[in-house]
Amino acid sequence: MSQKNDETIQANSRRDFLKGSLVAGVAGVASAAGVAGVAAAATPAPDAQKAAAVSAKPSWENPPEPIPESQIKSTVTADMVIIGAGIAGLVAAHAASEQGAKVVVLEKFRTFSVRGKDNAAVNTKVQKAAGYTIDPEMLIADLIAYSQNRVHQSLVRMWAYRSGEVFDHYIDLCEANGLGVKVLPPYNVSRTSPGYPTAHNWVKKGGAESMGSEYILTEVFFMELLERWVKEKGAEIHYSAPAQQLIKDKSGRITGVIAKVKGGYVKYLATKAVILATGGYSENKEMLRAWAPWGEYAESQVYTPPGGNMGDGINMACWAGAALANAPFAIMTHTIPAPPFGNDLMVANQNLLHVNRLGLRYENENQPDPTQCCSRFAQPGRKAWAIVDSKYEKDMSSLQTSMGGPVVEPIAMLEESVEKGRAFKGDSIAALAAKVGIPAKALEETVARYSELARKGKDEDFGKEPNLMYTIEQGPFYAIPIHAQLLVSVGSMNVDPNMQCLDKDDNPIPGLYAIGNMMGNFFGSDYPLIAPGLSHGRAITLSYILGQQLAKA
Amino acid sequence: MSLRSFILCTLLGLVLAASAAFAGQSKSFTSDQPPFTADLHKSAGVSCVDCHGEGKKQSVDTDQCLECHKSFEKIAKKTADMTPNPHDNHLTKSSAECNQCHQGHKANENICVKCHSEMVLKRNK
Ligand SMILES: Cc1cc2nc3c(=O)[nH]c(=O)nc-3n(C[C@H](O)[C@H](O)[C@H](O)COP(=O)(O)OP(=O)(O)OC[C@H]3O[C@@H](n4cnc5c(N)ncnc54)[C@H](O)[C@@H]3O)c2cc1C
Repeated sequence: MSQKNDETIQANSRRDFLKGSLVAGVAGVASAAGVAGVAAAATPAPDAQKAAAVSAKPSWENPPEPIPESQIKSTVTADMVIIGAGIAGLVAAHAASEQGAKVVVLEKFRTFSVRGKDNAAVNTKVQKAAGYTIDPEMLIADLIAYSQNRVHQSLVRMWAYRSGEVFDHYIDLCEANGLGVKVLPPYNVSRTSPGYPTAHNWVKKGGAESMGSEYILTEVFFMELLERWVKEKGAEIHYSAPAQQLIKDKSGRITGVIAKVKGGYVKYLATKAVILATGGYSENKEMLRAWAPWGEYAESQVYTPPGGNMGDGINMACWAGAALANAPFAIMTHTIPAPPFGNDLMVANQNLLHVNRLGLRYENENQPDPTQCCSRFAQPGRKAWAIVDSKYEKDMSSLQTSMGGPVVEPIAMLEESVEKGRAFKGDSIAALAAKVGIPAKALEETVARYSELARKGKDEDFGKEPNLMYTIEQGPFYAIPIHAQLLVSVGSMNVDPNMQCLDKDDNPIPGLYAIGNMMGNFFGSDYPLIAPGLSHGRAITLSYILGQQLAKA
Repeated sequence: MSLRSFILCTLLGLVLAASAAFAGQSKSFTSDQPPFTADLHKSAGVSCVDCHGEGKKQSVDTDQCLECHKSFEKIAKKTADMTPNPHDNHLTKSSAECNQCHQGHKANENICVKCHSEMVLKRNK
């Protein structure tokens, strides 16, 4: 391992770590402002810090003093109060208000939050028109296997069987408002690795679409419309109103929530339900370490807007007696491509030859992005590189992926990355090994063996499909570090098959529900990219069903 | 706004316009840093208590900044000649707090690079 390479990678991760905690800390101060409430858990107020030092309990087991009645400046009553204006919260609000329920959404920031582009659904009108039919039972079986059956199968089935109808409703609404919907082919499918064409993208007429390594964040188009529909149906969205503590009556029912607003607190009472839609905890180091510790190995953490996924909702729920599902919880780790402002190279996470710092191959590389991060974390020093030769663009050009072709950067971009020290280049394999700082002889042997297997058309070592094996023989050669970015965590609270939160004795807590990334028991310990867009797909489908059901109840 | 803060804001505006030193006269955030935010305010006649209040060691929150600077939209207009405009993006519309980048008594910091690792904020020539 060359000193230089080692330092670059470590310096990066340390810098990101510091930045991450800085941003989180500042956001915590800003919203908690010294009150021992929810956000105080992120940056505890002095009193809370003292309390934590005494008890050494994690934030979620360390409830703050209740906010005194004297500090409440007003009370708002609704049928449902939904905490968090992400995709889950706004869909639930929309579905409930379509049924005539009076809904208030509380959001800690100045606007709703949104990311990404893919939305998973099964057998929508768009899929049918594109000629795709998915067998829900095959997909369900794969998802159950993928999660080691650490799920409520009925929730997975609810998504698989009802996403079509829920999405069709939104597809109609979007199309009536000039927003198109497109379905994408699956990722990297082969005989031995499943993949389903579940990803729906919202597309503006004439607007840019994701292509190759160019990643266009189109989810915002849907969210802009959704926010409008929510308001049109009469629901209120209260922005800059971070929820602090849930309110529980003597019978154990959750009857509302206290939020902080400019100049004091407001009590929001819910006659039917409080729905937790505050997303995940990926920005909270204590929670990440407790439930998904490998997430800390990711080189960077890219949840946006920063401070939105500090686990506020988890703290509030636990303080009110709700229980967590069985850890570990799934997180989403990916590579996010470079343009326009830098990040990592997608080519690293494609199914090219991967080697560890011993210069050895260690896997069938044809795995979805998140699982590639997991295998890399199990290598010495948690480091690995993708190795390509100068014909990789041509080699991969025939690959079908959901991005309109192979997800690789053009060679010019690779060259640029070499200049910047983000990738390595050598005229020979030995020269490349020296640049990376891994044993030359081992790398030469690994590359020679890989090329031999590619020529044979049979991967005797790791069983990768022959159409994904390319010889590595035409210099110059490149090594690209395989990096991971932590996007979100996708589950935490123990819910029953009705999405209702459970207490420590597994009894439903009256009036309290969890949706979107707050909801546990839907994913195992990894995010299944075999059905791309499932975090949005689950959020849209199940939040819609819950919102509608509670409104009708 | 009180008359006093009105005068201060106007003064500050003049100093900033004259020196063009705020948040990005330099080519990037990493080199050739402009003066610290606190020093800029001080040279514009803003006193410690104007931002920090009377208590001891109070951090300055965004609401306090917006007392004078009004809104992110208004601030964005002042940096409209920068690419990308550091005050008009998905963060300033949602969660951004002024002191995440402008930590008064330290050099400015470009927090965009947390995710957009190569983003450099430049003033258009
Ligand atoms: C870069 C990136 C790209 C992604 N791309 C995709 C993709 O293509 N497909 C996909 O399926 N998934 C994608 N994801 C994941 C996806 O964005 C999330 O899984 C999903 O949006 C979660 O929705 P949610 O509503 O549960 O939570 P969130 O979107 O996190 O919303 C939670 C909301 O609650 C608010 N909140 C938090 N605490 C409080 C409080 N105390 N009071 C009030 N409000 C509060 C937050 O500010 C936020 O607005 C991506 C993630 C990232 C980071």
